[in-house]
Amino acid sequence: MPDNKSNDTTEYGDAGHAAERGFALALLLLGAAAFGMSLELWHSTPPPRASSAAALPLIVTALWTLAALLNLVGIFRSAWGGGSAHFIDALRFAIPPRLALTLLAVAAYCALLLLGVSFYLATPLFLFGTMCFLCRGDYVKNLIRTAVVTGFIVLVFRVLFGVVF
Amino acid sequence: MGMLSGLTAVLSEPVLIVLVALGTLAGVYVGAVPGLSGTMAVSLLVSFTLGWETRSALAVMIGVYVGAVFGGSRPAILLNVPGAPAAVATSLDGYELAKKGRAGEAMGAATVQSSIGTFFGVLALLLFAPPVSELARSFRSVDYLLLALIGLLAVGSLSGRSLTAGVIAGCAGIFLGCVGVDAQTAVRRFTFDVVYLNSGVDRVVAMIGLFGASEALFQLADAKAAPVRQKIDRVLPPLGDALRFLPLTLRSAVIGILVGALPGAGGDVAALLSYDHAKRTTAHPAVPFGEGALEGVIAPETANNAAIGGAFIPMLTLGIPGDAVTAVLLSAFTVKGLRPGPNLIRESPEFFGFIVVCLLLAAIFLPLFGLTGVRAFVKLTEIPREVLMPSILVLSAVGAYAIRNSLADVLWMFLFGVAGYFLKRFGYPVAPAVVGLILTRLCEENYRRGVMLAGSVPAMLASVFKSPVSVILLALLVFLLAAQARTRLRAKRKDMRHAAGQLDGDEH
Repeated sequence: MPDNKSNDTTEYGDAGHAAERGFALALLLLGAAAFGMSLELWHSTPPPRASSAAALPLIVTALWTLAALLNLVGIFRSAWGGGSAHFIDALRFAIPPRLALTLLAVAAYCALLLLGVSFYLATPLFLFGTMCFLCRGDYVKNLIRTAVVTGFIVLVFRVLFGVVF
Repeated sequence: MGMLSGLTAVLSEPVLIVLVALGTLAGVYVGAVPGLSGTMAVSLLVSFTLGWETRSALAVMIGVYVGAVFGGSRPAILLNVPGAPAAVATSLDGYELAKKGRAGEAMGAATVQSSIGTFFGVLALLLFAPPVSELARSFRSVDYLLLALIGLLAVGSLSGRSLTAGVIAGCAGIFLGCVGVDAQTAVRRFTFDVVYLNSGVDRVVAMIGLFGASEALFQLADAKAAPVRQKIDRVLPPLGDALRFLPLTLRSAVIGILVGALPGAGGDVAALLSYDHAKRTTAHPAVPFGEGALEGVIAPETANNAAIGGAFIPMLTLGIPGDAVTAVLLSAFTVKGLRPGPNLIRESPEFFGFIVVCLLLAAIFLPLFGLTGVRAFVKLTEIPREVLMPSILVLSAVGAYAIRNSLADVLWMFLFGVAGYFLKRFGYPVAPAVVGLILTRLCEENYRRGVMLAGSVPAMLASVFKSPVSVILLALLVFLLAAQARTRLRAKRKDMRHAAGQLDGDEH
């Protein structure tokens, strides 16, 4: 797994570098979109604009866009910038299957909460299901672990601090 | 004189000592849970202790305050989930130490330094309250802006090898900090008509997502990751280490006290500035910063606890809270019929002395309670990832929910978690985004106020030279910027020489 602290990307391979370029492009597009919105806000605010609500957003989004552009150029110019890979391989690099399924579980958990399913039901379901999937079994142990974690949350947040779920 | 009467008051009622102890113990564990904060705990205590005698109520609240500031470091070190924004800087190297099996050492250092930092903060409160208070009062909008810009320079030192990556993350964080209804003009900025966003992005929600949830997702993505065996034969740092790091401790304490004394700039800003300062001034760390440097734990933990004493200075001498917790304490004082302000030390020296003694007691109890359970806590990191990470995801969700009892916070937390995961996946630093988010308000409010007061941006810039404090801060900013640029240039030249050397080697 690449070291997320040192920006060392030499282990990536073609799929990784393709995904890296895609992400850098996404950051550039996001920055440009934010800059566009800031510019719109700038034009819609009455003078003096230097102390308006648009001043800081305009400065930082301009900086963001510039930095993202330099970043993207740097990635393409680097020694590993020339590789190509299938989109699916790049996607698999960005979101490994194990993580993808976990994210689906997270999405399901959020959906259950949004639909009004009780926290006391949705949370143990999420915990037990995710642990069993990741551990490939161990059902009894995971049941106990789920009970312990849920019990801790209820004790601290509900009983001690009165957080209403 | 006030100190003596305060000491007499505490000694004559031993139950007050017990209350400080209980408060400190509770604070340590409250602060350790992401989503729960010292501010929340003290707020609850204000109503809980409504019928209590004044000194008893204050004793327990002060204990909780001190304990909670330290408590945030525990999950920051063990799980990379800071318990509070003040522990963000601690997680940068603390978690790296835990990954190397040195969590016990990191937690021991955090405990001792927090206690020392609290002690220095109290000393400053006792001895230097009036002059520090005068200095804090002399700060103008442009001075706060310069301080915020100095803090933002931390983005550069947190960027690792790629400055552009750090700048992108930092700018994204500042942009997120701008989301919401503008406090000055009521203009909606980047809310997309989503009601939730009118109040802006909660920085604790963003912090839990960007640090906690993203780390859990990042760990889960790596099927080969295994728990790290922790070496816990030594928790309490040897005296030699404490003496070796004493100069850094002193400087971090001064930073914490001065920043804590500035209203609106609390332990989180102090910790970040102190971490950045440690990184710049430590010539040859045994381990590079960001990879498990002990100095990276010592500096922020000293500063964020020293900021407690600093925050009390404007609160007690001017009636102006130094941070969120002292704002709540101020309301507690009012409820109890007390009036912090310019005449407090003169008219009620025993009350001032009582606060000082309680803070000192909390500083003494902190290592006692902070070091308890370290071995048990450290075992958390040895739990299999497949069990620990889903638990962290749920805890992050609950912590985010507990802030405002809002499901929307949970959803946004997970979104930040996913965003943080992708940043980490592709080698972008996450810390600058949180730094940007934390410092946006300090930066923007004071920039705009400064421009409005001066009349224009050039006039505001010119006003910098009208105050010695501003000139010093500007000089510091320029110096730090130049130092950072020089360090990066040197590193780049070294890389180029290394690459040229490799090429020569290949040719031969």
